[in-house]
Parts: sequence; structure tokens; C-alpha cells
Amino acid sequence: MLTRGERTAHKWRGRPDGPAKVSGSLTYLTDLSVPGMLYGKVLRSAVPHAFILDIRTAKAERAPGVRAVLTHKDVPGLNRFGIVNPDQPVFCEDRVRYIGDAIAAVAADTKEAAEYALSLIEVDYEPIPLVDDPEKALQPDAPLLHPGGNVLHRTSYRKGDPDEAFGSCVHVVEETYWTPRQMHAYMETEGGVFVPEEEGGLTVYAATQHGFKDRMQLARILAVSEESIRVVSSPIGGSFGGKDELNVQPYGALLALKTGNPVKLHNSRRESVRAGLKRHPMKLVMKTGIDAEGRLVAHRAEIIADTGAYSTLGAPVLNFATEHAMGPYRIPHIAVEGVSVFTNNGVSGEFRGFGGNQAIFAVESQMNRLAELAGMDPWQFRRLNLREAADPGPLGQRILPTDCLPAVWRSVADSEVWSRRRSSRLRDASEPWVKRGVGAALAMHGSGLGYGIPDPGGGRLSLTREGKLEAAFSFEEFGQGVIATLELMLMERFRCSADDLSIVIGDTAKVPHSGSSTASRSTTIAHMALSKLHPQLSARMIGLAAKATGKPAPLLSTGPGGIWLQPENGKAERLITYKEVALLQEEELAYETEFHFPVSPDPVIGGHYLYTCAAVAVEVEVNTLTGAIKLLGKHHAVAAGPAVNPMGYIGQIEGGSVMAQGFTLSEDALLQDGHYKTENLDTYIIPTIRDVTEDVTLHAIEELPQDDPYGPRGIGEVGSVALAPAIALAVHDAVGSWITRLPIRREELMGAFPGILKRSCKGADDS
Amino acid sequence: MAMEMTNAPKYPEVWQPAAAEEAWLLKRKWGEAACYVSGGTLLRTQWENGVKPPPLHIISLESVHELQGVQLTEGHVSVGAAVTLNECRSNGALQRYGGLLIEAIEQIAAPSIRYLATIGGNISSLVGDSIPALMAMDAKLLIVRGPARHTVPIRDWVQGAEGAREPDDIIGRVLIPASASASPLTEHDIHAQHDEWFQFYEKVGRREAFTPSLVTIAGVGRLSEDGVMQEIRLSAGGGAALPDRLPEAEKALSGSRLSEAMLSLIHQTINSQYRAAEDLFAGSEYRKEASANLITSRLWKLMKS
Repeated sequence: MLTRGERTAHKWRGRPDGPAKVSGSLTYLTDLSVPGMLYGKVLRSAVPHAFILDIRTAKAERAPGVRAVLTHKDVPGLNRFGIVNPDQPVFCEDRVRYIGDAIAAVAADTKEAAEYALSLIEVDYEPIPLVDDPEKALQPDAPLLHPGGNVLHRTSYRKGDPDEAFGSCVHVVEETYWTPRQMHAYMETEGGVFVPEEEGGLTVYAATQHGFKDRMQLARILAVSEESIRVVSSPIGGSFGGKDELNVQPYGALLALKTGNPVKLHNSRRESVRAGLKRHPMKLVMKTGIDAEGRLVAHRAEIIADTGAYSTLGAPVLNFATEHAMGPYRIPHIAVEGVSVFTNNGVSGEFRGFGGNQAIFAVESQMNRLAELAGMDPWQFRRLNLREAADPGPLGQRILPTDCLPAVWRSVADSEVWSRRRSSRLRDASEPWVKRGVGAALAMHGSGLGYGIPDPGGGRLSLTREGKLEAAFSFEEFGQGVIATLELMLMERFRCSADDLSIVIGDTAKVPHSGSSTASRSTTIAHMALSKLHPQLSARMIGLAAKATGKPAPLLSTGPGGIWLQPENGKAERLITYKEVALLQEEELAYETEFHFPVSPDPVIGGHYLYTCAAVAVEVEVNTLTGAIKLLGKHHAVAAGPAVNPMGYIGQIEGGSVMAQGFTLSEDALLQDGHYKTENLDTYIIPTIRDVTEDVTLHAIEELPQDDPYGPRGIGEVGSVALAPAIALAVHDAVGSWITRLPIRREELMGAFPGILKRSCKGADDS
Repeated sequence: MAMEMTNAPKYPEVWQPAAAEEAWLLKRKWGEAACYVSGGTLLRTQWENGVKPPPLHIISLESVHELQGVQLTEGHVSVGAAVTLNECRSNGALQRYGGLLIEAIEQIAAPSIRYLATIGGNISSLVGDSIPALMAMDAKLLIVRGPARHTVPIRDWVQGAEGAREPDDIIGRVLIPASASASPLTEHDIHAQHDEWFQFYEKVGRREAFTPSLVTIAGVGRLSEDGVMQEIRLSAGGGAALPDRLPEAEKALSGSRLSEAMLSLIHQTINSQYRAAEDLFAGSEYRKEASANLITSRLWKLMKS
């Protein structure tokens, strides 16, 4: 198990940013204040779907303390944003498509003056019939949200002939599953400070998961060169995918350049809920068949994703869901069809797990139903059907062979939580309405952005003039612990101390292009970059040290504080400090590398090459008086290569798991007629520490195939992907209800007390 | 928008009267434009959520002496309405006679909020989780109406019985009977003694803590040596519904012995009698069923003990 212990002691490092975060003293970018700063506010649409007939800002412009009021007329460049397909208006011109659409922005001397000015802006709307259901949006008579229609993206994967193969199946299960509109619920809502610089330049202090992408998008909107914009984007108070796309940056940038003053914007929670991204709600219809031995024969999946008003990453999310809709199983006949549909229901986008969580919930639920029909143990049923190490990937593409599945499967099979399955479902005869059950699920999760999407990696490693070993990446620290991970990677390679290091991230002025902090990719990028750069810098430093000291280079190595000499029989001594090495020559010692994240040689769009595996077993307790579910214990197995940063690893898996618990039991951003009904965290219910069980084990399977060149895999998402089906199946084990809709509805699990009593007495008599 | 251009945003005026009557007179003067504020924890969320507009005048009850302190007097624990939930929780007299209330308070909001929020504020919300407990405990409220003081059963006040609640009324104190019925009993006590009081309280929210109530139930009663139920008071609340007693279920239980048939009847009675709230998070059918289930299961445990 991955815990603090002998094996991990040398790598058990508190994160450098930890104490300041825990004590509340850390200054986030939204905490910044600069002299002469104005306050910005954005006017969002009052209605979810309408034509704009007129926008009148004259009154707002004359209000006290107001310095600028901007609308679409004030955008010098492209009045659109969107990572893949820029179709979201910075400011709407003649139409609004969701309740978060921006119409105008104000900069004023105070926040109150800015808010007041918003109330003076008059907008005339001509309502358009609401499109609040993706299936209705596909009807021929539905109003079209975009010129290209209401379909953002379709996917299709086919193998064999499932239609015919279902005929030969002994058991077939057909079911429909629904998943919720989950909110990222980061503690720090979107915001930042935007500072005009000399010669038309701009510095953006605002969170993002990809500074260079923000820079590109902002340059396009402002019609300036990318080089004139600097994006400082860390530290971040949580993101989970939700801050990868632009949010308030266009308004801050435009207002700052218009007024010539620094401008601060910071969304309230209500504004964040209203304008921000959510996880795609999906409806998944699955039909799966097995033969008499319990072997999977045919599988069909239809996915309908509610992508909301604009594209952002809706298409890649659907690709990912499609790739994960058949599970990591050997199935000869498969058909998956996906469609991502525009509606007036907010905007859906990137979210930890990226469409996998929804698909895995459905496909893993299918497995248990089939196992029951086949009269098999659900875990043995999976073992029988698991793909083999050298099998092609889910979309038929070549992938890096991996044995991770049997390993995580075995870990759950041997786990203490799974062993609780055989005992009675009754907790205690004095409360016969409380039922216990155990469930488990597994998944194989792709890392990186996938084939066909630019996924550049790279990094820089240098010895600074101050004698620091400095690693620079365009990564962001949003709580995942990337700083601590980079430190550990460097300390292991240079055998130096933490004081010798400088980690530079989150600032486009200081880092090379190494891509985004998304898709469980940063750890692999860092490993690959450092594997290349470390020998170069190390050899150069040793060479310089050897020349300066006259000692033979083969006896020298890097170590704490500098270069050390290790005589053949004698005590090691430090010969020269890093700073002295740095000053041995004129220019800084710096090495850079650029490469692409590993992809499959087969041109399957969105298909992955590197996969990690995860399995989880849970025990739950269901109170049938109220339908309330309590998690009693969890066992997570994760096969993702070496745990570089064990504390961070545990944090990522536990955090992902709790987030998935919310997805399963309580979280859903409810919309009624296109308006959010859960506008704050008093009605949008995320788990608190009281909902979290302390009974958690984490088995990190760290072995990689021999000569694996890619090293440790990212684990930012795998902790969250398989928990929902495990809980749903544990609930089924406890009370017999099959769960098809998340979050699980308590109504479905409760009974009337007299009936509960009769059944439990009968049950007790039978046993 | 018909908005006056010259009206810049305004902060409300804060009044801090020392006497209850003074507070009442201020409220009479400013009417709808004023609002009594004690801890302010719920009002803040209502202003923030746009449920209520922020008032022009805030009448703080913090300094009103009459609303302070907890005293044990004339067969009652008298709790000042401005006493915070945290103070209630650690008060000796309430620990002795207000067990059900303390149980309720422990499940209200979160520690930081209980540090500010007051018992009077929880009651004046009309949906607070303390109300079902106080109804089951047969608590009364001392109401300040100008120079006059009168006491009213909490049920009448919450349910808005004729003349019980007027818009400018201030809850002065909460009066909890300092009798055997309000004395906390552990399950152990139930086993140990014969003719004894029992009580229960349960809240179901959408998570384990810091959650609005879906369903809250409470009950107090006496079980005679020969197993007959007497002086039973049951209550239920949750969501936006005003908490209420369940008189028909109480009547059916009163003078009866507990049996599975009786529990079925009680279940049915509560299910048909209780007028539960309905919202996006739980239907009224769910709330009725859960309330009936929780109450009958507690009685079943009593029967088995």
C-alpha cells in the first residue's frame, strides 16, 4: 500500500506551497492589488436564448466612478474564443445562447460602482424558443443555435458485426444511463488582475491550465502580437479542467487596454456558476451480449452529450467518452455512436476524467448485470473478459503494451474491502433497515490529448548565475503538487538538496512551451524532458568542474550544494559549489528540448497510446428508511508507473475519489428553463470531510514494462474514473436496486418501514 | 428599467438599541424597510441569493439585554433569543433539560456559523432545525410586542395561529419546560427504568454535515411500566415546509401499546397527515415517507428495547 513508510520515506516531502495554502497566507492571483487598480464587472445575459435587439450603455457610462463600458463594438480583433473552435462570443452582438453569455463589461473605481453601472445597461431581447434538451435539439423543428446546426460533433467506431452477433448471444442486457452536470467547484473562483504595460503590452495575472494558449487566444481577440502579452497563471486555487478555457481574461484585458489602468475582475460564486464550464451530462444507451461461457460477444453504445451553448472542448470530450465506452475488454463486435449537441444549458467542457467517467459508469454497470445473468461472480466475469497486454487499444489503434489491467484486477480481488462481500448484508439486528454492500469497477484511462491533437512537450534545465539548478516548464500549480513532483524528480537525478533548486512554472515570460497541465500529461512530459536534459547539464557541469579543479571527471558527480569528488577509497568531498561552477564561464548553462507527447502510430483521431489502469472496491451502507448512502471503505488500485511524489500521488487519488463521490451521490448543477437553480454551494452539495471515509487503502502498482521510455504516468484523473460504478454496484449488492442515474436518487432505495420490517424478518428467518 | 440615475448604491443604516421595546419601535417606524438582525447568518445568504432585498435599516438585536443569557426559572429553562447556538450547546441548564435541542443544534450548519447564529434567529426563520425539537419539547416563546409581553406555544407561533405572530414581533426568549420530559435519556436509561420518558431527534440532509434539511423529525413521550404510550408529542419538518406537530399520530399512540400493527397505522397516519415540502432536491412523497419511516423505526426500537 502507498503510505508514509520506510519505502517512501526518502520521497515523503511536504509540498513547498503547502504551509501557505493551509494557513491561508498564500497570495493567489485573485488576491493581488496594484496601485490605481479599477474593478471590472461583466453583464451576463438575462435570458438563456434570445436575439438582442438593442444594447444601450449611455446611462452606465455617465454613472459615477465608471471609466469604461465595453460591448462587442469595442473588440479590436476576433470577437470569439474557444480552445478548439472559437465560436463563443467575447461579447454577444445580436444573439445570446446561454445565461452566462457576456453582453457588456464595465470598469469603475469600485466594485460597487461597477455593479451599479451594470444595472444601468439596457438590453432589449427577443426571446427564441429554448433548446434545453439535447434530444429535442436534434429534432428537425428545433431552433438552431449555430449556423452549422445543433450537432457539435459525431463519433462512430465499429468493429465486426454487432447487429448480427447479438443474435448469437445467450444473454443480452440493454439499459439507459444518465450522468449529472457536475461543477468543478474550485475554491478560488475565476478572476485576476490585468496590467497594461509600456508600448501597448499587457500582463495577465489570471489562472489557466495553459498560459501559452491563453496568450494566443487573447492576442487574437486584442489584435496584438502574442509576444506583447505575458500570462502569469500560478498559483491557482483549483481548476480540475474548469479554468483551461478562457473565462474572465478577455474582459480584463480589454478593459485594461481601454482605460490604461490595471483592472481586477473576480467572479462571485454566483457568476462562476452561471458562466463557468460544467461536466457534460450524458445519456448512454448500451446493449451488451455474452455467450454461454460468459464471454463478451457484442456491444453497442449510443452516447448523447449535452455540450451546452458553445464548442470549447466538447468534441474531444466526446472522443474520449467514445474511446472508453467499450471498457478494457475483449469484445469481437462493437458499435459506438456518439453525438455532442448544442443546447441552451450553460456550457459543458473539460473536467477531470474528460468524458471517461460517464462512459465507465455505464459500461461497468453493464458488466455486473451480465455477470448476474451468467450466474458468475462479477469480478471473475471481468477477468474472463479483460483485454490482453498486446491487444490493440479500444479504437483498434496500436498502444504501448501494458499489463496494468490484471495487476489492478488482482489488487481488488485480494483487497480487504472486497473480502467483506461475503458477510451478511445486515449491519446490526437492532437496525434491520441498514443494509451493507460491496462493489467494484475498473478502467483503463488514456493519457495525453490523443492522436491528431497537437500535444507539444518540452522543458528547460539550466544552472543559473546564482548557482541554482533550474527547471522551467509551462505547467501550472493548481493543487496537484507539480512543484513538489518536479523537485523530487530533480533531487533524484542530481542527488542535490531542495535548496539547490529553482522551479519555474506558470509564466509565459519565463518558461518554454511544454504544453498544458491537462490530460494526466505533465508527469510524463517532465520525465521525458529531464531524462534528456539532465545528462546534458550534468556532464557539462562536471566537465567544467574537472577542468577547474584538475580532478578526473569520472570521479566527479553532482550532489548537495555542488560537484563532489568520490575517490576510489576515501571519503566523498564537495569540490566546488554550483555557484562557482556557474561563474566558471560567461553565459548561463541552459538546455532545452521539444518533443511531442507519445502517440499511437495508427491515425485514429483522439486515440491514446499510453494508458493507466485503475480499479476500486467500495463498501457502502444504505439506510432504507431514507435512501441515504454512506461510504464505509474504499480500496483504490492504480497502475501508473513509479510514484514520483508519494504524498502528491495519495492526494490526487483521494481527491479524485472524493470528487467522484460527489458526482455519484449529490452533485448536479440543476437547470430549469435554462437558468441555474443551484447557484451557490448551499444548494449545490459537494462532499465535506464528514462524508469522507477514513477507511481508504491505495495500492500503487509501480512496475512498468522493461525499458519503458515514458516513465511515471500522470494520476490526476484515474482516481476519479471508476468510483461511481463501484458505488452503484455496492448499492445494488446492498439493496438489489440497479442504478441507472447519477447522482443516485434516494427515492429509489427507500421502502415503507412496515414493509422493510417484514422483509428483513423474513430474510433473517431464511438465513 | 425604470431606475433613478442618481441613486448610487447605498449601505444600510445600522441601529443598535439596548431595549427590546426600542427595537420594536424602530421596526414600527421603518416598517418593511427595516429588518431585525441577530447573528445574520441566514439573512446574509438570503440577501446574497436575492431571496430578500437587503434592508435600508438593520436593527441589531445584539445589545438588547432582555434577549441575553440562559436562566433556570419557575420550571423553565429560559433561553434568550440572542444566545448563540454554540452557547446553547455548552450551557449547563440546557445540557440537563434541553437534550433534544442540543442534539438538533449539533446538526445545524457548521461550527463557524453556530458561533454567530442565534436560537432566536433559527426559530424566526420558521424552518430552522431547532423547531421540530422545540415542538416536541413543548417549548413556548416569550414574544415582545411593544411594551407587552406574552407567551405562545412555539407551534402556534410557527404555524401562524390567530394573533400569535405579527410582523414586528420580536422573539424575546425561548421557554423550555424543566421537567422530566425534557431531561435527556440515554438508551441505557430506557432499559434501566420502568415508567420513563423517551425522546428522539433525527435530521436527514443531502450530506453528512452542513446541509439543509430534507427531513427532520423529533418525538418525546412517556412509556408506562405496562407499555402504554402517554403524553406523546411528535413533530416533523424539512425543506421550506413549516415544521408541525403530528396530532393524529399522537392521538393514535396515546394510551396505546406499541405493536407492529400499531406502527403500521402510525406510519400510514403520518404519511397521510404530514404536509411536506416539495422542491428540486426532494419530492413531498419522499419527505412524507422518510418522516413516517424515521418516526416509526424509532418507536419500533423503543418497543424492542
